Amino acid sequence: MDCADCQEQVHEYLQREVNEDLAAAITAHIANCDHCEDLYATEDQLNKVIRESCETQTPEQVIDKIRQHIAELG
Amino acid sequence: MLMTPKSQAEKAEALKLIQFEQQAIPLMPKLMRKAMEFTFNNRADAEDLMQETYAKAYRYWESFEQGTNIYGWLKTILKHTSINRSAKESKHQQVGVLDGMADYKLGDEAHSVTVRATKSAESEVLDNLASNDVQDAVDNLKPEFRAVVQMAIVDGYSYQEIADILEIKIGTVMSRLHRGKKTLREVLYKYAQEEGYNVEAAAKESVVREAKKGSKK
Ligand SMILES: [Zn+2]
Repeated sequence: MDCADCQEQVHEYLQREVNEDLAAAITAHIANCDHCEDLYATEDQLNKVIRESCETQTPEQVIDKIRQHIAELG
Repeated sequence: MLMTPKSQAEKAEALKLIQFEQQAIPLMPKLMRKAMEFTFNNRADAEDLMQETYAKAYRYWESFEQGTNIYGWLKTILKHTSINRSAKESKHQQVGVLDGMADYKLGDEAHSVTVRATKSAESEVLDNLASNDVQDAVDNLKPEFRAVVQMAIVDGYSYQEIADILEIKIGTVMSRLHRGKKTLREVLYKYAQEEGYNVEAAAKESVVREAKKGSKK
């Protein structure tokens, strides 16, 4: 595992799309490489802020409408 | 009553709602039957499942290719939502599922490697952004990128699931996610600069920190 490999896989690693062996190799590399650790931290942080700010993205009025239609299904 | 002029975004949102009501809502009875099947005829569960499915369908609306099979599209979202819900239920006691690398099952050896607690300069910048900025930046992504970013990161779909729902290849899912995130990083960094967050100072600080630590490579 070198830096290029690690950086290429960082998104898949974060999305849990790599198998256990690869995940272990990436974790080990990140633990020993500041550069890749920074990259990982940044991408992880980006995911977090995206999650936090987009979680409730369906507007309340749309949810209300959906709920109302479901209730009418009888 | 006077109508206030609407912004472009409001107009687009209104149009989206009209489309959604005309095309997706009428399919509810048919979808509800599927939802009942998936929940073993538990009506309350089926209704929850329907609500989550339709809320997602609304969020992903731009990624639906108009004129193609909308019932099939909704059914795919319903199916995956149902699977994810039961998966979530069965492991609801596990903690830290979304916490970075925390839940990778690694050997004790690998697990004991301590990851540096300090943050990179860039992740500090991200930390200081307003939630509105992030939402704005996501909203401004091209629809095909936005859908993948949202499904993968916010809703936690697997690449395979996203590929199914959007009817694209897994490689396309990956490249859209990578490009979407790259764009977000660039845009958010720019926002941070515009808002006067001292990007350079943060970067310098990080350099100093690196120097202090010395090389561990
Ligand atoms: Zn590296």
